[in-house]
Amino acid sequence: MLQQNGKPYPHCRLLYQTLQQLSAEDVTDMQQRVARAFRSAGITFTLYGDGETDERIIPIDCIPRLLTASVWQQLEAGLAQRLQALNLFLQDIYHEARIVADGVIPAEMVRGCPKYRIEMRGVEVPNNSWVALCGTDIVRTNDGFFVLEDNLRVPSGASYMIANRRVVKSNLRYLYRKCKVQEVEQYGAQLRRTLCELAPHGKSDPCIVLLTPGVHNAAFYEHIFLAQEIGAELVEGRDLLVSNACVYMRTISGLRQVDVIYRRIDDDFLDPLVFRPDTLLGVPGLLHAFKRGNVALANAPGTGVADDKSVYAYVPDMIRYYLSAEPLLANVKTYLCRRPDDLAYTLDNIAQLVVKRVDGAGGYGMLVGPQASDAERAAFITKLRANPADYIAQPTLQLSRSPCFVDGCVEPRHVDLRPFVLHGQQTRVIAGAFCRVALRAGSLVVNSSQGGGGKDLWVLGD
Amino acid sequence: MLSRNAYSLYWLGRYLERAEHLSRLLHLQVETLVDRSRREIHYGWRRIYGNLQRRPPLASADFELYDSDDLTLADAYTLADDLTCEASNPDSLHSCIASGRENARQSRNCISHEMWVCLNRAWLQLKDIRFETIWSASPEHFYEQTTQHLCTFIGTARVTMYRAQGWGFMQVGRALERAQQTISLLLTQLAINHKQNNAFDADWLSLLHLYQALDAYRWNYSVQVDSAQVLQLLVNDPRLPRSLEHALQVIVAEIATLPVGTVSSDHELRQLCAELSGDTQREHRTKLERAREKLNTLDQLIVNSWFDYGIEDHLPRHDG
Repeated sequence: MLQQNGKPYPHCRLLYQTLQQLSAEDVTDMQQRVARAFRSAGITFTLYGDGETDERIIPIDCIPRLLTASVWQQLEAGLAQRLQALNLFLQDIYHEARIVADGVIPAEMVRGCPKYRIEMRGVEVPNNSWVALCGTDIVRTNDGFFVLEDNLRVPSGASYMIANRRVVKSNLRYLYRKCKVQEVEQYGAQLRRTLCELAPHGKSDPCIVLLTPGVHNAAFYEHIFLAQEIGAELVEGRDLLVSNACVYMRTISGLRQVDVIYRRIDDDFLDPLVFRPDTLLGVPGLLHAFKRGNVALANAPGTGVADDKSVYAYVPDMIRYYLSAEPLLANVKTYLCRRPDDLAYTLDNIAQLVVKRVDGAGGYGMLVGPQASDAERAAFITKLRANPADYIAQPTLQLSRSPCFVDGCVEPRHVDLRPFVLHGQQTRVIAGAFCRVALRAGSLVVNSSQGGGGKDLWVLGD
Repeated sequence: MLSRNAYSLYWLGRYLERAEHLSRLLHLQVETLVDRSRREIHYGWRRIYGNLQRRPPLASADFELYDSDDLTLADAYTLADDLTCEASNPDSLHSCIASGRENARQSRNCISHEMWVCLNRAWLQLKDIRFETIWSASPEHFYEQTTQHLCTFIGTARVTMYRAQGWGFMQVGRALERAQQTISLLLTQLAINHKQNNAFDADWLSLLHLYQALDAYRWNYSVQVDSAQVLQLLVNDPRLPRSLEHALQVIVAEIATLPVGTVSSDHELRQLCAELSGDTQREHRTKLERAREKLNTLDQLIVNSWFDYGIEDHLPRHDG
């Protein structure tokens, strides 16, 4: 919000003035109102541990993060380009694999990735939309915006994007109106449109369902919310069955055929006849129905290979290869520890690097070098030497900070953002994002499962 | 509508009705502790545990519900705690509301936002409360407040829930639970009185309070409590919202609005509905026992018809 001279950026001037007019009491009241509203509405995520279930709200900070329309347009173009390249990559590696044959990406990186699904080789996907929904994590430093990660399997956070907006808007209504903020409410309609475009045989008004692991899933609230927003039935695996390569759901009036499944279940649990045989979450025969073209899955199985942290390092190469263009959004410099040179660099500089497992998620299993103890670094070095191909390393970024309400005062905290990109017959990017914030002073970990919070992102009107 | 959602709403209705019934019973019971006789107090506990068909805590191996000796070794605090906050008791107030809320959570996309917020708020107040806090403050206030929360939920549902199939299943669940609880309670009372070979007006008067029927009783009959007239009102008068007859009529009316389920069960179900309401049996105990059997059958038919049907007859035929 503030420039180096301590004055607010022009587009933040109104926000700055508003914050100056708020007393500590006003701020505390506002935060408590928001927390109560979230708790009453059950906008929670669930943590499991020690046999107990804990429903927690994601703490929401009421100060929005602001981006100008021009900055957003650049991000939007970069996101759309990136998803287009990723879809082309997935189509390619499950068919001719030209990018491998041409030596752009090593074969072992793709075929050796545990998320590469042999079962998907040769499968045709409607509109080549392997990834119909993507949540891309973006950070900002003094050098600009960088993509931290592409979430291509079951990206979450869209419901919090909308929930945050509703509650912050009602608490800062004057400011909201003055800023002419671009809407996010149409996300549900856009998502439905995208899903309809995947319907088999171009069926108009397809039967769409959202497949959830169930009430015990951490993101169950989001599943309910999105199902309502897109007008889809919320189903679990036990509500569905496959007969003659068609998918049906059990209703009170008998069985009804399903055309499109927006699935929030990982590949491993999707179909016990193909993947994990011990799963009760999936639907036996689902992949067969999908391959026969009788049901669409968003996102298609096998997309996890493209959001592997090692493959991430090649996304700029994918853009150049498939689109003959330079990436509009940069990657964070990434060291692939499977490469001897990168491993050597990582071991020598571990105190300055962030080291992550290639299949990690939620901020777990990673080392933040500058914040780790000698013992923690030593333990990680042991793991690196034992299985270097399982790790990547990146420089510790000085993430941008955004003002947050902390104990009645305004203090800076590190933030990132996760915008959502939809890809059916066309690419759609909603002008907003789930903005995550590391609530502990000095922390760089924004993940909600580790105490992170959320903010609303306002993309200002022209 | 998904069968699973219909099932959740059916049980949402049942659990919250069960909770409200128990909350009213306990409210009544803790009021007796203030100034009523020991006989009346024990009668009340006996009636509650008989209604729930549950053994009280610390009961001996040869405990007999209808025995004229002391009910149990447990004091009022232990009994009330068992029925209010005991998590291992599936029929406790806490467990019923928790189960109701869980069913609401499972079918959250089928209920209104206002209903969910109302129930969730009530749950958030209740979930971590300790019984010693309730007991030392005011148990009467706690039960009154709990009942109010549950009634507020029903009222919120009435004004916000779209009258589609989900509403019907929830109403059927509520009415069926109310009918079964009423039958169980009245049969328990009759059994206790028969075993003890006596009846006290105070015990029938307390039933009128429980069913919020005292004004109706006085309006129809007199200020003098007569057990036969109390039974007539609570069992047969459809104008009393909590009477058995009213509950049966709601069940029949709501089932009539639901779509045809599994054909084989549906026919039997509708036939049973036709027999449910308007039973002209004059002997109350017989009528109650007959209704109990029919309602147990009805519950199973509902499950077979809409929730847990075999899919073989529903699979589409495919050529080739």
